[in-house]
Amino acid sequence: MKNTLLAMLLFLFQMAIYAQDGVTVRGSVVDTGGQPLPGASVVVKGTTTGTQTDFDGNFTLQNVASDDVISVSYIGFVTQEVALDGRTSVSVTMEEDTQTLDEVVVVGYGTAQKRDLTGSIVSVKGGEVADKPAANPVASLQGKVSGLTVVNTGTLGGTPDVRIRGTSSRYNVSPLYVVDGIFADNINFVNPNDIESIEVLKDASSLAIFGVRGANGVIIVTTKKAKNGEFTINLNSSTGVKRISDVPDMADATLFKELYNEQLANEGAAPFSYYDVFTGDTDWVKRITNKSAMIQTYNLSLQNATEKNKLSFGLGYRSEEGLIKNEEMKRITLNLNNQYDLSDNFRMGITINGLRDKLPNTGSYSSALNATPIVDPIHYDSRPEYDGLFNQLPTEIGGPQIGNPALVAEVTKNKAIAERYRFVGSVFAEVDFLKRFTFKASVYGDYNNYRSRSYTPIVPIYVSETDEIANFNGNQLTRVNQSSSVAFNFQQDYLLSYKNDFGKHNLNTVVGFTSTDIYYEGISGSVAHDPSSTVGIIPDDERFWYLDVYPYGDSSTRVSDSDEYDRATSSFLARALYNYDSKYLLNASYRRDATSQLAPDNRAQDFWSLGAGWVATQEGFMNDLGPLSYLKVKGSMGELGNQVLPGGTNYPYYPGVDEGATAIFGDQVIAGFVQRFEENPDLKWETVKMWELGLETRWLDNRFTLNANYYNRKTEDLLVYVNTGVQTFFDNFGEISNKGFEFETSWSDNLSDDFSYSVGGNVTTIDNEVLSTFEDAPIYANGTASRTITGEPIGSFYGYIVDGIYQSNADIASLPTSTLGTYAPGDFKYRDVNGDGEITPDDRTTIGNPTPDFTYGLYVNLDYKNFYLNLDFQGVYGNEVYRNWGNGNSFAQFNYRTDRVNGWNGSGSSNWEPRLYSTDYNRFPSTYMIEDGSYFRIRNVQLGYSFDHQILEKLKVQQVKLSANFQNLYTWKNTSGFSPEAGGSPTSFGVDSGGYPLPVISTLGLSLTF
Amino acid sequence: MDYIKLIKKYNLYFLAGLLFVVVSCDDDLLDKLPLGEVATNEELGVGGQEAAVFGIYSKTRTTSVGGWSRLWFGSIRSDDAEKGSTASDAAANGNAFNDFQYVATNGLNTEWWNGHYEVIFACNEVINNIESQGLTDEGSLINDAEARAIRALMYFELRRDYGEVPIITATIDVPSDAFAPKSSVADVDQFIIDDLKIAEENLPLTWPGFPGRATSGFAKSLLGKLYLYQEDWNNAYDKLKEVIDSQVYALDPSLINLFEKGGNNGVESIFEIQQTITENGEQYANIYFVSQGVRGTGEWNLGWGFNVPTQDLVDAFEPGDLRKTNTILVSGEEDGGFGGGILPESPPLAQKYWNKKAYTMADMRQEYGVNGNRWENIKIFRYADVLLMAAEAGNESGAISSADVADLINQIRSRAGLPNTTASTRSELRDAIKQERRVELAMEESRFYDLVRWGDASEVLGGLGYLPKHALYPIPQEAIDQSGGVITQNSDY
Repeated sequence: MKNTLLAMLLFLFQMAIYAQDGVTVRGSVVDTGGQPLPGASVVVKGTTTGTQTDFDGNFTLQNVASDDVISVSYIGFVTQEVALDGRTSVSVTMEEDTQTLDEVVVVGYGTAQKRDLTGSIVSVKGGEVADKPAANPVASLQGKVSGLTVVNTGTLGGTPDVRIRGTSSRYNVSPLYVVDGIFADNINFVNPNDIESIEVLKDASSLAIFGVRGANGVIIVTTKKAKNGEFTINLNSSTGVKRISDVPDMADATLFKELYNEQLANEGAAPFSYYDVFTGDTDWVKRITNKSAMIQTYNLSLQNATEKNKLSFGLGYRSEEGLIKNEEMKRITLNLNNQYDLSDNFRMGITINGLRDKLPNTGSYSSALNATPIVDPIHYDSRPEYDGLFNQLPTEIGGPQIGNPALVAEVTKNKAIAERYRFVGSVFAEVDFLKRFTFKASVYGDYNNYRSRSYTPIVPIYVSETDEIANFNGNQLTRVNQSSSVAFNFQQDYLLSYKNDFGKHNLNTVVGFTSTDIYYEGISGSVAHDPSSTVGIIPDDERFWYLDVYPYGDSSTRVSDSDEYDRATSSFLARALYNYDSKYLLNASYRRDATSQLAPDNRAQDFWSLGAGWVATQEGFMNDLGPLSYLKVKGSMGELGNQVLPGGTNYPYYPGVDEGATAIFGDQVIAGFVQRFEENPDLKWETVKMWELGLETRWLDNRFTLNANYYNRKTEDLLVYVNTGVQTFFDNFGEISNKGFEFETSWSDNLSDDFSYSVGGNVTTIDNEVLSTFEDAPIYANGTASRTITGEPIGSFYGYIVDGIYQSNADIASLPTSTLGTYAPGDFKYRDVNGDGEITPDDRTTIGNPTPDFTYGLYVNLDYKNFYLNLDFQGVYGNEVYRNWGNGNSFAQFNYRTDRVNGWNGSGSSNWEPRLYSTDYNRFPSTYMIEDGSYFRIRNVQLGYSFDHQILEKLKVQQVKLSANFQNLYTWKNTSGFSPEAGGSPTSFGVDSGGYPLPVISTLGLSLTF
Repeated sequence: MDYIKLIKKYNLYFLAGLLFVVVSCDDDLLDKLPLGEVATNEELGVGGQEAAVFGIYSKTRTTSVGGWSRLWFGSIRSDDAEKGSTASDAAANGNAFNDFQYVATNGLNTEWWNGHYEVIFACNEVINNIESQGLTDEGSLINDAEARAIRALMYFELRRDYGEVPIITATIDVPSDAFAPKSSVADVDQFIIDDLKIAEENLPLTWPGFPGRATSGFAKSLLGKLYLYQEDWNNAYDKLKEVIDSQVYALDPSLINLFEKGGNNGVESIFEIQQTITENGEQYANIYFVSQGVRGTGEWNLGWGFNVPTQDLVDAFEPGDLRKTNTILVSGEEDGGFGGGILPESPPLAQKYWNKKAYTMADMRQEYGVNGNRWENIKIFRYADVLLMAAEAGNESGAISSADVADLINQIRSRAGLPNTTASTRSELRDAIKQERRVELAMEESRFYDLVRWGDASEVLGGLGYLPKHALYPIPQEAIDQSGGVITQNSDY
């Protein structure tokens, strides 16, 4: 294989330019109204010689034979062929194509004309994500694509929770990403500026070609390639700031003392005795926030297409700070696409996406919300050794549970260095033969290297109660951790396609073989200093943060570990796209996937889809339909797979041993084993049976579009990891249904030559229901109220219904007795749901659904002369969020939400906020923690200005654009936490743990195109 | 350039050849065995169960069986100990255990139940594998006996806290295998006895190379204890006498050593949950001791400060009882020769008394660079317990003379620096045994169960909120939920 790669590389770099004799032809391209068409493609027919028209619709072609025919094409217009007949100057008038829009979209293993497809594919242009501040392009798709739910996170470098058409699995619902042909689990390594287009594939007809990876939907990312005749250099840069917003209302020192005193009095406990030494009034959220978190990006890109060679090159730099102090990410990206035509029928090419990340040390606001405000972050003292130390929180008020948030943000969080290098590349060779056949061979590699080093310091901290210095976290040893891992993913595709038109029959087929092999190895280790040695602690200097640190490291404390796996798949695939006269469409796909992970006798599974469509407006009898210019009715069905295993499991058929199973006898450490789970020879991947029906319509000369789909997806044979105590195993059992409607609409019009606008939007409804689970057992997510149970939406919240507050002992006596614990007036009145006259755990019921009834997005684009304004809105409706912060803690007193000021303190004082009292009785999951998750957000506002061409032409510049962008400008929401958005796992999401706000990001951008 | 022309001419053949090469090596592509570890369905053969037995020992440490649930159930409920720590810390657990406001959904309750069944299922796996593979070699029979002895301990503890519990003997293949209706206490007891009879037969007397593995002495001690709980005094005495007569065990002459690292698997040890910190700092320990360490700051931040002695217990020691200073650590006083100096006063310390049996030598803390006790073993059975149980069984059954009963008690008193007991009648001796059990096994999760067993719980604990129904804890709601109602709640809850 290595030799093959070398041979292919040799081709690639031996690029020769052939010169031809000929004439120079100049021309102009206009529409029927005489307006010039910039960017139209002009190609000499039968060759790859070509160019694009400039801003005035003019072009120049060199070395053209005087009897050549030139072909001019432009999206939305009928392609024109003009014979030169010796002319050196031509004028071409393009006619609008009102019958069909020949939009070409990227599909699995190829491209196709959208009109030939029976499925649902949404295409997003790269520009839509390139000018947004998010580093991960998928974050910018929020609200833009029907059927695609993106739940964003404000954490620097965080991964959004992405789901297509509902939640269809217990373990993995994230879509497959395909980046320039290679399968990937995410696209956080792709620079948004390098993207040409993103295609979101949603239905069986589009997805079955991806077989066992297709069930959750597929997002195909295609990076930029030079177009015929193109020569462009673009430089762009943006600078912005992030701002924290929607900070929850927490008690200040005065209020905290008031509430805490009341609580202790309620409990009959002695008043807190250390107010004299804890005299601060700290807003911890403010204290740890970076007030001027910056984002900067710089991008350079170049596209150059010559006769034989198409080169596209992109270089990007990005630095971004998080909302919390000392969070910084730096990234350099590289994108290279080069295609070389060796002859008319033989092409080769190479693609590289490279990245270097300096990864951030990210923190969370949880402890800042929980920490009591009565502590000053820093202790000031006349004794020099005490002066300037961080304060420990009061032992009685969270000291053992919450480290000083300022110390964590400013000192300990900053002691790690992590870097990532990733190179994703491919080479391909493609040959056309026997007129209608094309064979393409591609090999791909994805090399992902991660390295980190960290240091555990000894940080002195001041203890106010005893006036002494202690070590933060009780830490007595400095320690260094070092780790490194490499993941290498090798993929190869061999595709044979055949395309033919027989009269009005049009056929486009592909068959192929593909395989993947993923190998991972990671090593990690740590070493501590020797407290008995005279050389002392490991210095707080990253120069020393290596495992062999000498002479500080105590070799007897050095430990190391490794982690490794490999797995492979091998697949056969086939697809046929057929249409009769562009009127009747038929699509069929098949894929057979075999995997190393299942039992050898049971490795392969088959997946398929069928789709049909009818373009009614192509029928003769539907010639005059008034305002309706295009109508397609379509439907598809199929069976797809979800190759999913819970995290950490790579060999479900070969259970290993539990690594914690270490027996101790005296001081001997003996590895024992506990079989991790039982192997199951019949285990297979989850299957999703899906179908959809849809309409695509265009009206009023294509100015108005309306598309509608109904989708229905049923997951069967859910892969489950059953844990009954110790006995654990994998099995297939359970069904989940997701169904709903999708609507997309748009309207665009020109009000005058200077003023045009477009508006549009999309709505997706999601109706999720768990049809069955393994042995009908509910699935609980640890530590939250999420429950997955037959007959309810996945991950529904589960708990008691609060009917109010017990106002008096008489009130208590008159209501059913509770067996949940001790309670008194001022505690929650839980509802006797099952009516058995007692409040018991059986009265818990479903109290919320984390899946929205519908999600939606809206946009308005205005163009006036050189100005443009783009507005994006986005929201969800009808879901609940579980408030998992600010509810106190069994083990310590945390800070209070200001709402607690209304805590019950006597009959009639409150019927919602319980008394101030440290009891778990009011902390059971209940409707008290349920908040309305609906929100509406001004997601993005962008205002731009393009300078006049006339001025620029003299400066030899094609385009200069200035823009200002505001993201997450304002959110109308009903939750009390930072953000109403809370992603999570498939069975536990919508839980707001108070971690990290979504920042308001304001950026200014400048783009120069030569 | 010629090279390119050549390839161009033959490119089709070249690519077709490439395809062939790749497809033909495909057979091997999908054969992937785990990297870096053996798969457990590879052939293991005779001796293959020993590693699984080591896994069972590990689970006694890593599950709640060895964790701090043990303190809440066994110690904090008694009159000798209370919740401790700061008032607000784990206040709800304090209600649920210290104050007898039992809650079926309490997390410690769930962990305690699940932990025991987790160990039971691991034992079932070994026992069933040995049976199904027909293994009869000595090593396999010993492994079987080890699993049975530990399984018996698990069922004994479950039965003691919950009464009727489901007996699960199957290897769990589907979740429903893990659920069965509750069995009567008599059936659970018989099951334990059957396991222990096999275990005492096949287990060795000692394990020279593996201190701490289950021995026949452990199986016999547990069997004797079960008989004692059944008030089957004759069988209890006989079984405990076998332990005494084995001459394997003796009382540790040093009370300090007994509750230090030096006492791990010492002469008095019958069964312990093993913990250690290795030379390179790897900790193999749970939070049993850390949760009981002095809750101070700096060098006195030894833990979370739970499970502290009551004044009642402090007052229970006779004057001159050497065990008092080895059981009670007092704020503001010297630590009694452990090298840590004088404790801070209370306040600022939240408690006046701390469990000294969880306290460590200061030089060990420095040696490990760790404040919390993660190197001492958790004592499940020690010889002093066997002597006192034998005295009790002998006294109640009348199998031995009152002088012999007194002699067993006096062995314990003599080590504590106390004169011989003056008790001589059966009733006096009974009271003497109760007092001696209280102070000898103080803070070692015996007192609450003894009070219940003796029928003294209502009298002694009534003031703390104890009612007769509190002898048994409600079965965890999660276990009932997961079983789909196959397991039913105890009748009083």
